[in-house]
Amino acid sequence: MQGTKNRLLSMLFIVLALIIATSVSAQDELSGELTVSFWGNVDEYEAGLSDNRPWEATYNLIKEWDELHPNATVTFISQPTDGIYDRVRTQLISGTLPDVVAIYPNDTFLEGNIDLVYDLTPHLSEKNPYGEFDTWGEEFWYDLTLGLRSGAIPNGQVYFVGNALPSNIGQLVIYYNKTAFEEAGITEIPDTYAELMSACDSLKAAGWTPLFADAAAGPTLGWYSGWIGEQLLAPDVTRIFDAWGRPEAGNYIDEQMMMWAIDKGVVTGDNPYVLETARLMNEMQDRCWNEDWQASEGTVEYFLTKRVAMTHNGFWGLPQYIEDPTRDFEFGSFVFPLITKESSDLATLEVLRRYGGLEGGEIGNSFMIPTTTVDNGKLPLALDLLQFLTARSGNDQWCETQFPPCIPKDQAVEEVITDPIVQDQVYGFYNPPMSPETSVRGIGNSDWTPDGSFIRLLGLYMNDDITLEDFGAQLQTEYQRLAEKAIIDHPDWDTAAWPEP
Amino acid sequence: MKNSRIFNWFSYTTLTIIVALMLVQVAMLFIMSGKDSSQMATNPLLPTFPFNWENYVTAWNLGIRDYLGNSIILSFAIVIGNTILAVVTAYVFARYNFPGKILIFSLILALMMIPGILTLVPRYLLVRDLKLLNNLWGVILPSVLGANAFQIIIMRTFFESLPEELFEAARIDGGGHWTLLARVTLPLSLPIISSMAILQFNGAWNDLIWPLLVLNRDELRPISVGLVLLSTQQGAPTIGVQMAGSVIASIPMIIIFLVGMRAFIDGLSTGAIKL
Amino acid sequence: MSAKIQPLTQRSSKNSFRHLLSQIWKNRTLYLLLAPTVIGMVLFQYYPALMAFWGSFHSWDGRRASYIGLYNYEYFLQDTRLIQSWINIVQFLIFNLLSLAVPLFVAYLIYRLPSARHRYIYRVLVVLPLIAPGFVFIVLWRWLFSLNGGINIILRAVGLESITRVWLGDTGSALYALMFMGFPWVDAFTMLIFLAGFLSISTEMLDAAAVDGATTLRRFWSIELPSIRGQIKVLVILTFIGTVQDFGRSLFMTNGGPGWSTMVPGLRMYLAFTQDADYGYASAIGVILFVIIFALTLINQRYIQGSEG
Repeated sequence: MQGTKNRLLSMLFIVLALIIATSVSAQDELSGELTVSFWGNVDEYEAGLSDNRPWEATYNLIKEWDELHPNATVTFISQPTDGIYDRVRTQLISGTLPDVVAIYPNDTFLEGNIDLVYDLTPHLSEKNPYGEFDTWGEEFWYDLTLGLRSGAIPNGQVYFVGNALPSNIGQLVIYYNKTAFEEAGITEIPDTYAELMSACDSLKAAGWTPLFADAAAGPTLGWYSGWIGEQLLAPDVTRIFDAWGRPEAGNYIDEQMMMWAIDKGVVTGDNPYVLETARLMNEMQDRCWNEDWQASEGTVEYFLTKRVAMTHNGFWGLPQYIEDPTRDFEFGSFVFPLITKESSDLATLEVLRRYGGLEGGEIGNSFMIPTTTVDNGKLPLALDLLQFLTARSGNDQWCETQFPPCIPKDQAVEEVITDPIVQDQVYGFYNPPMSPETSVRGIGNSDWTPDGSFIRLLGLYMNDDITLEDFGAQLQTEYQRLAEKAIIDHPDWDTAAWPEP
Repeated sequence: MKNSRIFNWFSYTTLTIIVALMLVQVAMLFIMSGKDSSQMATNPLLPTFPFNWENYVTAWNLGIRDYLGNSIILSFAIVIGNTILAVVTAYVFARYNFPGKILIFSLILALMMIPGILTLVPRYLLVRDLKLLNNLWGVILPSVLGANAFQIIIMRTFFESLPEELFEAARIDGGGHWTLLARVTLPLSLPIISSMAILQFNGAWNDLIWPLLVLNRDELRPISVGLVLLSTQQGAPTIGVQMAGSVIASIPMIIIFLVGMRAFIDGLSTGAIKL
Repeated sequence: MSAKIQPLTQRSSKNSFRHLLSQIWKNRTLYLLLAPTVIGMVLFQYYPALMAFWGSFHSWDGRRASYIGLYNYEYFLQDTRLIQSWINIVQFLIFNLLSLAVPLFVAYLIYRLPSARHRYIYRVLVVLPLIAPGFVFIVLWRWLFSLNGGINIILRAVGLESITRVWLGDTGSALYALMFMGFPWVDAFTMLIFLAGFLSISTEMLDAAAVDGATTLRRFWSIELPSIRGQIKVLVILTFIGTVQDFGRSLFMTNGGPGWSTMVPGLRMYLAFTQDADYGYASAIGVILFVIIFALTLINQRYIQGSEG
């Protein structure tokens, strides 16, 4: 008797559970089509052909969410990475963006149009339905308001959320071929710019092309000149912060500060630090770069085919190098080294500065929601997707596939990665570590000129078409034109109240 | 009048060399489309074996499939729409008198003086405001409705040259506008219309800048934009794959040439005299 | 105009106005047939053209516009890169006009072939390369010009190692590389137009010349070339308009670089539009190019009328 009763009870319980379950899923009002503008070519992620591990993981997470909600369908829209910021800006202004947009937030491309992006700040203090903490904000491994800061975003507001590595790694490192270094008799990775140059000389003598650069495709020249410029222009940065105050997020220069600096003559095209940046670039070109740096073949992977001994790439390039079946050499990585007095009389820094945010996260995969999504009634769907992606569980799942791996902020890399070969491969990302003093982004940005003039002038100078003096004089003309135009375009800047240097 | 033997010899030699120089570039596309990276590195210019047909599969799966479909849709829509509008417009101007004829035709003629570069930016913003960005209509509509003055003028001249008696006869039989157009004008002017259409198709198929601006979604891109972006991006596919894509991009033109070569050459030659 | 006549003209204008209305009503089908063309033309051509003029006086990012008078034009005139891009476009122009001689020459040779069948075959052969669309050659020539590309391979093979270079990466060679791209510069359309011109020359004129015992060269200069003057003039205008506007090659092959060595005004406009989101400045460059095209076409037109009248 007791058994039958139990059985009946348990059956009743199952029926009840089923009823509750169906009624709950009926209450799930997440239905409709959600369009997602995605970073790069979705076909490649789908086919597993992409070498971009972070976005592929995010892509798979979104598909998981899609399956979780049978009434909601996600439609992906590929956004080719060439010119993606310009394109997203125009589409934002014209209101033609998809419901959710995948994009790295560290850019001033939203300047003046941030009001067209949905402000996520209020939601961050509410509970994330997929989360394990009291508020959504706590789900993240990092502080959003610091990590996602850019010139266009007001302090404390959050417009982007996404998956990110919790550790502080810089955006770009130099990868080097260990066989090449051995052949050239280089036993230690370069700690200073001078050591990098002598490494190039030894590599060249051993028959290698030392370092890859490509002016025609991609922002290569901008990266190299940025690395050098951020270091050499440190005294100018100090002068700007003396007038404007240093932002809490680190050594960030926004557009208004930069235009002020040009207008007041703090930064000039022909000031010694800028000229020295160009001179060092030229030295590096002369001693390190591949012969066809002005127009190299885009189809050739110079590093893996062993045409060069060193190349630059971000953390997204790492899995590609590790897993390449044709690779028959070991490699390591290091950060672009410190410029010391040995290389330049104008060097002032004692500690290396590296690109990237103060907190982890800014190198992660982020999303924003345009305000048009709210008008289209898709906000609940869009929010739910982002909450799913960025709950602690979602981020952990994302982290599992990443390389370099997700490492909590205060933990040493060596404790997590014990294989010495792998330690060398990721070395450049964690050494030296990021701190408020060492993180920079701003003054070395080559976009501070119209029509890419800075890069074009640099190319001319390094091609021996113009002298260093001409370079400075012409750059100064471009700077002044830019500042004059920017001030006209920005009636919102109170130039009368600008501080004096 | 007879040519001297030396002149003939000179003509044939020179023409053959020039034609060979042109055709060798087309042949290279095909030769290189069968090379893998190692064949490319050792012998890039001459044919190598085995011929790697995999390059075609790779190119096809890298998006060429979608690009080709988009290009076909765009080109046909533009050619059909444009031809219908141009024929109707040219016909009305050629065979009828009505108030405002000169004014309207002058406006069409004056279009020849408006260069595309002047209207590029506002036209983009117009298409944006019509919510046609990332929409094939954003390419089709401006091209079809933007009035192709050259086509209209050539066709008008041709329609005017048709003998009036034919139209008289049709009118006596009680034919209206449509009969006159469909039964009399069209059959007589098929060669010029088809050659204009091929010219249009060639233009639409080759168009790069406008689709590049309007169509940002990769799956909407025509093959012109798709292929060029594929080859210029960082980490581009191998030259062999790029060339395989190029050969695929040529297929529709090859078909059109096989079918309509004669009409095209003859039509263009007649059109040229009218210039 | 005297007061007496005024009522008369008024009445007659009233009459003719009514007459006009009835004419318009009678032809309503025709207007209906023209409507799509006229509406489309106004919407997609005249309206954008007017907007370009309007925009050139504004600081304009596509969302907000504020009037800044002639600033965009002043900015344009102060552009230090201006001279370089004009020198480039003038070089392109001279080259493109001179290279019209190649299709002219080819057309002439085909026209003088002794057999009609051979004429047809060569005509087909010249048109045949059109099967490969133009953009495909961007892909091909980018490789041909690269460090280990076709041109350098050939140069090394014939012992000219010393002049090999990264053709698109050298300020001294990039512009000429872009010009060389169309080699051997026989545009099929142009050739067909010239050929049609030659073929329409009346045989009587040539027979008369033959009786006079004119040499081939003499016959070419005094009869055949003047006969296709019309075609030449049209193609000169078309080449001119096309070249001033064209920036596709500079954009896709070199992005105007290295430096500004392949920069042309059209590309500067395109970059101001797409890269700097400076629609006002882009419009101003568009207006300036329009004025240049307009002025030179007018001069050309007048010259044609003058020489023919």
